[in-house]
Order: sequence, then C-alpha cells, then structure tokens
Amino acid sequence: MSYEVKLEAFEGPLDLLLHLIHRLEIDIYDIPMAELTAQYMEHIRAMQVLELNEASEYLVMAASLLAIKSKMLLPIHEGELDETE
Amino acid sequence: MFLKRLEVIGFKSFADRIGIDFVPGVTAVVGPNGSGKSNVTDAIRWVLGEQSAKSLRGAKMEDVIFAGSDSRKPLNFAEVSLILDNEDERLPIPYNEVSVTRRVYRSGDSEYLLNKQQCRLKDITDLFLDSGLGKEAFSIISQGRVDEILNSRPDDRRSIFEEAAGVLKYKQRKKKAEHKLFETEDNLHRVLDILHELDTRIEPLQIQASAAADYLKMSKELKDIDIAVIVHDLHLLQQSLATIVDEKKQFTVTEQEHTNNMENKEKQVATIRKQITALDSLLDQAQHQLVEASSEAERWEGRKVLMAEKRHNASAQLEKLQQSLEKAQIVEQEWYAQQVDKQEQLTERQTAFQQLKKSVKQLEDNLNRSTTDIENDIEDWKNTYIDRLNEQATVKNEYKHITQQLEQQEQASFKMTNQSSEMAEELEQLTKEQRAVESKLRIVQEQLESKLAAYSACQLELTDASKQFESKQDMLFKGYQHLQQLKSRKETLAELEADFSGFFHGVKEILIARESNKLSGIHGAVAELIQVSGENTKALETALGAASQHIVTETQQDAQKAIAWLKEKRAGRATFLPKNVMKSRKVSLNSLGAAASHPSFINTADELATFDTAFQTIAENLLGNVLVAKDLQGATQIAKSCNYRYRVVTLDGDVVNTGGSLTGGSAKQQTSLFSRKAELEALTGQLAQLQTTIEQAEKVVAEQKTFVATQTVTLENLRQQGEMLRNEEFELSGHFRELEATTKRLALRVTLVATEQEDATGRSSNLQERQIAAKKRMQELTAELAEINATIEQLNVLKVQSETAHDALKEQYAEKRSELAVIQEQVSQLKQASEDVTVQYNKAHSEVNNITQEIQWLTNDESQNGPSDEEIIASITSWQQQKEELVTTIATSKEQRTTLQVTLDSCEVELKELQRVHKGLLDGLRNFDVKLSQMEFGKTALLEQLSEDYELSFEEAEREVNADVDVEISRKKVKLLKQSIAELGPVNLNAIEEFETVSERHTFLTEQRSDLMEAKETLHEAIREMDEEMTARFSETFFKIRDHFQVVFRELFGGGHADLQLLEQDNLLETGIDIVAQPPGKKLQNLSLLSGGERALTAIALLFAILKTRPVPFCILDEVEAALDESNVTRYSQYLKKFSQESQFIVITHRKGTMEGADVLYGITMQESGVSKLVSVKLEQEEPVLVGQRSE
Repeated sequence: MSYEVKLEAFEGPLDLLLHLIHRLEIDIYDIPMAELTAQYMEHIRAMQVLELNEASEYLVMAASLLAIKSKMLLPIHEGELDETE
Repeated sequence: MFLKRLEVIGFKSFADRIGIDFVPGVTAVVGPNGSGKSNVTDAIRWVLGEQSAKSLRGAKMEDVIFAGSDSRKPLNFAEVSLILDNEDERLPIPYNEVSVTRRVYRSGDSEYLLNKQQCRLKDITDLFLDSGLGKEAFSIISQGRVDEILNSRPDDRRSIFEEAAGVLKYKQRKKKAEHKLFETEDNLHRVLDILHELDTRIEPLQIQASAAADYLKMSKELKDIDIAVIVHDLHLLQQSLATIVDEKKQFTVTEQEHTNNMENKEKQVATIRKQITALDSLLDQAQHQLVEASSEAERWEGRKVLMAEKRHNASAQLEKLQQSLEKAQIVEQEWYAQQVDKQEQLTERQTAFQQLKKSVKQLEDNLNRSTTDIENDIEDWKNTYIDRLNEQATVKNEYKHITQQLEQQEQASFKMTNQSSEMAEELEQLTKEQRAVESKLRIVQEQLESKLAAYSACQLELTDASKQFESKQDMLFKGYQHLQQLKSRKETLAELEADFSGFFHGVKEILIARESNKLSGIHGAVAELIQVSGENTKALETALGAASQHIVTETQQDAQKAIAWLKEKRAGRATFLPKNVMKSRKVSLNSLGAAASHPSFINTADELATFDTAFQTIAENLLGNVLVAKDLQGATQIAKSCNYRYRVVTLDGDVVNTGGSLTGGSAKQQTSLFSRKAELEALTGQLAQLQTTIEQAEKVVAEQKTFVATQTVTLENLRQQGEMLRNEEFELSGHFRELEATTKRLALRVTLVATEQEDATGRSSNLQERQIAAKKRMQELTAELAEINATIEQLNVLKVQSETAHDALKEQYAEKRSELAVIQEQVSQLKQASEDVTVQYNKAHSEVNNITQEIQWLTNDESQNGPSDEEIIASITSWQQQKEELVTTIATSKEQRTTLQVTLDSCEVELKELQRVHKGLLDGLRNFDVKLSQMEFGKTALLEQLSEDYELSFEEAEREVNADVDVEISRKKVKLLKQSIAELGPVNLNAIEEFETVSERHTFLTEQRSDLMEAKETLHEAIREMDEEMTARFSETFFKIRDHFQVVFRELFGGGHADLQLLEQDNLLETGIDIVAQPPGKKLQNLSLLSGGERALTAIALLFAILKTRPVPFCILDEVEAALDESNVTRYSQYLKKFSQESQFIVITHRKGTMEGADVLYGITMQESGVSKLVSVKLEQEEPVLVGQRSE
C-alpha cells in the first residue's frame, strides 16, 4: 500500500506527484506544501507501527518537493540550468 | 521460505546459461581466486533489486552484461532469475513457488518479471521488504563487512547496527531529507533576499501607488466634476444661447419695431419740417397776397368813391337839373296854383289865423315839461356798455390763453403717459430681476443656513470626536503607561526572579535540563519530592525555607556537573543535595524525649512531611533535626532544653535557630515564589490582554484621528464653502439692495409722474372748466352787449322822440306863432303875390324847357364812362372778402405753424430719445452677437474640452453625468482637486500596477515561503518523531545483538567473553560502539588490541549475532572466513552447520574447512578466459540424500 495525498490540485501517490512535478505536468505552486506535509504527518501518526523506511521515503520525497518548490521561487542564473534535478 | 534455484545468463562472466539448485542447509560455491564465484553473489544481489552499479563493481548498469572475451562476442542482454519456495507464504503472494527475473539490455532497457509477468522494481522490493530479504538485510555478507567491523572507528561502526535495526536506510534518507531541507532553507533565505528587495520597493511603491490612486481618484472625481460642470455649463450655455437667441429675436423684433418707430418719427419730423416749410411758403404768399389785396381793395374803394363822386356829381347835376326842371315846373305850376290858391288861401288864412292863435297859447304851456331824464339814462347805459366791452376783451384773452395751456397740457400728458408706461415696464423688469435675485439670495441663504447647520453639526461632531479622540488618546496613553507599568513590573519581577531567584532560576534550568536529558542524575527539587499539608504547612515551609528549592541529585559528580553546567551557561545558581553524600539527621533520643515532655512540642519536622522512601535520607537531612512547636515561647524553652542544638519552628513560622538565634515577625506580604510566579503569569496575561486592548484602542484612536482629520478638512471645506456662500450672499444682498433702491427710485418717479399726471389732469379739468366758463361768459357778454346796445338805441330813439316832441311843440308853438304871423303876412302877400305869380309863371315855363334839354344831354354821357357800380361793389367785395380770407389764412397758418413747431420740438426730443434707445438697442444687439459669439466659442471650447480631454461627446457626457450638481461647490471642488493634484507632485501612474505586481509577488513569495516554512517545520517534527522511533529500534536491536554476540562469541571461541559498549549512552542516535573481547585465557581488551584472527572471528561472531537478531530466510556468506586460521575456520564451519538448521546458507569460499561443512558444492571455473562455468560437486552420497529428505 502506497501513501496517497489528497490535495485540491492532486490526489494520488506521493511518488507519482513527484514524478509529475519533475515532468512538469503539475504546477508545483498548486501544491500547498504545508497541507501536504500535514497529511504526511497525519499518515505517519496513523501508522500502527512506524514504518521508518516508508516514512523516510516519503520524507525524502516531501523534502524534495520543498526543495524543488523553494528552488522554483528563485531566479535561474547562468550555469545553474544543468544543476536542476 | 528458501531459495530453490538461480539461473543466470549474460550476467558478467556467465556468458552461458547456468543454473544452481540450492539446498535448505549449506550450499557452497567454490573456486579459485579470479574464477568469478563472487559473481554469483552479485547476481543474487542484482536480481533482488540492487540499483547501485558500484556495488556490483560496475560503472553503469549495462556493465553487468557479458562484455565478451578473446573468443566470444559481447551479449546484448543479461538475465538473472531467482526461484524461491513460498509454501510457508512468507512472501505476501498466493504462490507456492515464486520466480523473480531481472533483465537488462545493452540499449539501456530493463525488465522485471514476477512469475514471468512484467512488474516494477518497487513491486519486487516491496515483496521482499518484510521478509528480511531487502537490500538492507544481512542476507549477503562479504569480506568488506568484516573489515568494516574491524577497521571502523566506534562512530562508524554503528552503521552495521543501524542496518541491522532497519534504520540505516531511514538514517540515510533522513540525511538526504535534511540535506534537502537545508537546501530549502538556503533557498528560503534567498527568497528572503528577494523579499527584502521587494520590501524596499513596496513602501515607496505603495506611497507612489497611493499617490497615484489619489491622483486617479481625484482625477476621476475631477473629471466627473469637470464633466458635470462642463455639461452643466453646456446646458447653461445652451439655455443661455436659447434664451439669448430668443431674446435676440425679441430684441430684434423690438429693435425692428423701434427702428420702424424711429423711422416713422423721423418721417414725422421730416413731414413736420416739410409742413412747416410749406406753411412758411404759404404764409409768405399769403402775406404778399394780403398786401396786394389790401392795396387793390383800397384802390377800388378809391375808384368807388371817385365813381360815386362822379356819378354823384352827375346825378347831382342831373338831379339838379331835374330839380331845376321840376322846380321850374313846380314854379310854373306853383305860379299857376298860386294864382288859384292865393285866392283860396287868403280866405282860409284869415280863418286859420284865428284858430292858430288859440293853439299857440296851449303849446306854450306844454313846452315847460323836460327831455333830460332820457339823456341821463342813455349816458348810464353807454358807460355800462363800455364796461362790458372791457370784460369781453379780457375774457377773450383768457379763453385764448386757456386753450393754449390746454394744448400744452395735452402734449405733456401724452408724453407723461409714454414715460409712465416705460417706467412701468422698467419697474416690472426690475421687479422680476429683484425677485430673481431674491430667489437666488434665498437659495444662497438657505444654502448658507444649511452649511452653517452642517458646519455646526460638523463642528459638534469634530468637538465630540476631538473629545473622544483626546479621551481615547488619554486612555491610550494611560494604557501605554499601564502597559509600561505592567511591562516594567513584569520585567522587574522577571529580572528579580532571575536575579534574586537566580538561585531559583538555576533550579529551573537544572530541571529543564533534566527534562531534556542534558543533565543526568537529577531527581528534582525538594519541593517536588516533599509535600506538606494542613496546619503544619507554615512551620514546615519555614523549616525548609530556601531548601525547598534545593535539587536532589544522585551523586556528587552529578551536582558538580550541574554546577559547571550552570557556570558555563551562566544560567543561575542552585543548591544540590547529592544522595550519595547527604546523610540523615535526627534528634537524639534524649533531646527528643526532653522536648516531647514540653506541652508546646508537636513533633519533629520529618514526621510531619510526606516523601518517597527513596528520598528519606534527604528529608531527614533537611527536617530530621527540626522540632516543631506550637508557640515561640515553648520553642525557646524546647531549644534551650536541647542546648540550642536543633532548630525549633513554630506553627506561626517563628524559628529558634541552632545556636540560639531567633527569627520571627509578620511578613508584610506572603509573596512566595509561587505567588510571584503566579503574579508574573497573571501579569503576562494582563499584558497580552492589555496589548490587545491597546492595539484595538490604537486602531480606534487612529480611526478617530483620521476621522478628526477628515472632519477638520470637512469643517474647513464647509467654512470655505460657507465663506463663499456668504460672499455670494453679500454680493446678492448688495445687488438686491441696489435693485431695491433702483426700484424704489423708479417707483418714486412713477409715483411722481403719476402725481404730475394727476395734477395735470386736474389742471386740465380746471382749465377746461375755465375755458367753458370763459366761453359762456363771452356769450353772455355778447348777449348783454347786444341788449345794452338795443336799449341805448331804444333810449336814443326815445330821446329823439322826446326831443322831437318838445321841439315839435316848440316848433309847433313857434310855427304857430310864425304861422300866425305868416298867415298874417301871407294874407298880405297873397294879395301882392298873386300878381307876381303870374309873372313868375311865365319865367318858369321857359326855364323848364331849357333844363329838359340839358338833362337829355347829360344822361347820355354818364352811362358810357368807367365801371359800373355793380362791378365796383363786386370788386370791392371780392377784394375785401379775399383780404379777410387771407387774414384768416395767415392767422390759421401761423397757429398751425406754432403747433407744428411745438410738435416738431417734441418729436425731435422723442426722436433723440428714440435714437438713444436705438443706439442702445444696437449696442444690445451687438452685445447679443458678442455674447452669442462668446457663447458659441465657449460652447465649442467646452465641447472640444470634452472631446480632447475626455473623449466624450456631449450626449455621452450627458448620459454619464449626474444631473443634480451644485456647480459652485463643484467648481470649488475642481479648484481644490486641482490644488490637491498639484500638491501631489510628480505622479507615477504605473506605480499602481507595479505596486500590485510587486505586492502580488511579495504576497506570493511570502505565502509560499510560509507554506514551505510550515511544511519544513512539519517535516522536522516528523524527523524528530522518526528519530524517536529509530532510537527505540536501535536500542532494542543493539541489546539483542549484544546478547546474541555474547553467546555467539563464546560458542565460536569456545569460551571467553565479549561485549558491545555504547560510548554515549544518552545519545543513542550518534553514539559510537566499542567492541571488547576476552578470548579464553586472556584479559578483556579493546578489539584493536586482539590478534588478527581473534579480531576476525569476533567480527564474524558479531555478524552471526546480527543474523540471529534479524533472521533472514537465507544468507550468503562471501569469503567471510578469509582471515581465520584453520582451527578458527573449523569452528566457523561447525557453527555454520549448526546455524543452518535455522537458516539457509550459501557460502562462497575457497577454504577447505568450510567446504567440509557444506551440504552441496558447486564449482566455478574459468577455463576459458573471461567465462565462468559451473561444476557440480557432491561431497557425500548420503548427505545429498539427507538433503533430499529434508526437502521432503
């Protein structure tokens, strides 16, 4: 069973969201990170036994999304284009 | 679950397909170094999902594909399949046998198959996740792991345990996530930079945008008002134009009429002048004719007289002749008759003489009567006649004069009538104008009143608002002061709490540090550990005093550490009670007994308190030697009985200290630490509440200030408007007064003219009456004069008659006397005469004949010479008549001329006035033209202004505009707006949009940053929670491994002791792990001090311990025993064999001892360079059978 998020702009697995954002099929500005992380937190707390691997996987994804989004707020300079993930 | 078979093709050195069937026990894969036997391990690792090419000793994943050799071509793909038994359904799929296949092509494509059906890598990893076969599992152990254990520093060594605990991946991901979060934080910092830049722009832009908005608002308002004013002005202009066009029409009509009137008047004047000229000519002619007529008349009169004379002479002569004839005839006849008569007469005479003598005597008597009376009467009447004549002349003159005056009066009256009508019209006009101005004035006055009311209301509001504002501001200031007081008190209390209870602060710090495990061995404050209650509270509180805040620690070292910690942190002071040092204190039995006998004695303090038995020593140390008494006096006596060796406290809180000192009194306020703390908290709450209130009040005050400012501006506007209205009222009032004065003056003149007219009418009446009276008198006088004349004539006749009668009488008397005498004589004479008569008769008869012939001759001469009498009379009559006519004509003409002259003068005056008025009318028309032109110009300008400035047509503007517009206020607004716009200075209209853009971006970035910050915090919290879980798992796993390790070590070494040690027990997340071992017969040493073999075997023991802790269905051991000597290899192999009863083992080895312990052997050779082949070796016949049986 995979962790699913329910947001206004997206509803589905988190890894799929990350994938779509990478492929620029979803505008990351439409994804409220606070809500995303809140749902993630809720999901973690709802686990009977904390699945560290799973949680950490989503943690990395969420952190990646944050990093991506925060990066997107910034201007692109020369020589930085190839550094984007 | 166990491995059944491995199939490999194209993977690394396995160019050809190979298959390995595993047994549930120990399966050995053997071969010399470099044979490729480790590729078996790699294959298994790969098919289980390994993603790291590096782990498979490759640069990229395609490197696992067989690369070819001297004699073989490279392959295009590699495939590995692993078949597992799943009868126990350990794998969560409903199959007894599971086949996992992985395939990669040189093109880069890859496939995963589960039971020959394509699937994702994740499906495979998820499948094995819970079975312990994941990449994190210890199912594959290689030489590196051993080295890792042996050579790692304690900090690095923990990763093995983390992996074993299943937290390594989390830790790695946590690290990665944290790295991402750091990246996020850095990015957010950069976002802050950008926000900072935007901040520096926002305020100026806001100011500019506000100014621009003001500008636009004012411009819009100005535009609207301007348009409204323009529309209004255009309306007014149109109305005025229409009005003026109408007025011009009327004025033109008026002017036309007036021009006609003037032309008529001019014609009239010209006509009159012509008439006068004609009259003058006529008069001249008449004068000539009169002179001629007069002369002719006189001439004819002369002729008449002459002719009359001539005819008279002729007639006289003729008549004379006739007379002579007749005379002669008479004489002739007389002589004849006389002859006869003489005779008769003589007789008769003599008779008559006698009669006559009698009569004469009678007459003489009558003569004495008078004739004088009549003469006197006549004289009187004549005098009366003269008087009447004088009166008649006077009356005639008066009549003439009156008539003249009447005419003048009539003309004046006519003139006054015109004047009056004009003035009436003017008065009406003025009245209208006055009413209009009054109306305006009233409107302005109403507006002024309304403004005044508004001003008063606004002033009242402003006063109220100002009062409220000041009141609120005062309250706000008081609030500020109160806030400052509270803040200051709070700060002071906090400071004092920190200062005075720096002690307590230290205590708090210690307790906080205890909660966060920064300090160890901290049990708590005395107040936390000891409870007091009831009536003893004060006594025990006093007994404890500051000690209630002392901190109980486990050891003295803990206390010292805490103190050092406090010093280092500069966190305050505290007193520590180390359990390992503090000792109980009690009152000696003797003293106790002595004290107990005192009636004031209650008990020892420790007996009155409640505490945990673990802290009994502490409690007794603090309270054991304290006695509680009821009162101070008793306490003193008790203390004395104990030689002042113990403290005695009273229920009131007085103390007799050891040594004898006394403490007591009544504390002014019981502000204990707790109450102060409560007050501090209360103050904090009050502060928060007050700050909220103040913020609200600030808003209110700001609003009120704005309101006051707005009202002030409004008030000023109203004042200015009021002033303008007042000025307007002033001007209108002045104008009204002017009009009023003018109206009054005009009305006065109208009254005067009316009075004059009335007077004139009265005078005319008088004059007419007098005229009538005069005329009547004249008639009367004429009649009287005629009557008098008749009377006089009658009297004259009477006089004459009277005179005649008297004379007659006298004559008659004389005659009779003479007659008497004559008769007497006659008689005498008659007698002689008779004789003469005959003589004379004869003479006369001859005379008659002569005269008759002369007469005949004269008659013929008269009829032929000169005009006849009729001619003369006619001529004279004609000329006299003509003369009279001429005189009448002259008089009439002169009268007519005079009248005409007066009329002319009047007309000229009127014409002059008409010309003046005409000039005014022309000026008026010109003014109309000018006004019209100006208005057209203004209209065009306004329309152009609408068009150019606002791109509106008049109709469009009309549609847009609110009709009800107070123009004056609007104009003032326009002025104020223009002024305000000017005051704005340069306006950047782009600022609004720019401000919106920048604000939007600022808001966006701010919101996004907040979103990310919140999310970041959430993730940090998640990490914290996961750290807790990880710590728990690590701890649990570690100790399990430790236990197993101790057992496994002893088994492998055949004795001895080994242990795992945590370097930082209170930092499980980061602590290093030391491995200590004591092989049989040696002392306990760090791993690093053991021999190589011992170390290796110890590592293996650890690995086995991990395996026991985290069981795996199968385990691949890749040359683990390399470092062991033969004896240790044997031990390893034996343990392995024993262990294999629980798990399936695949060992990759080249050690003989290990092979000896295997159930099945497979040989890997590389006879062909670069290509590995499989050789199956069955070590024992029976053993395969045994394996077979097991498989059953």
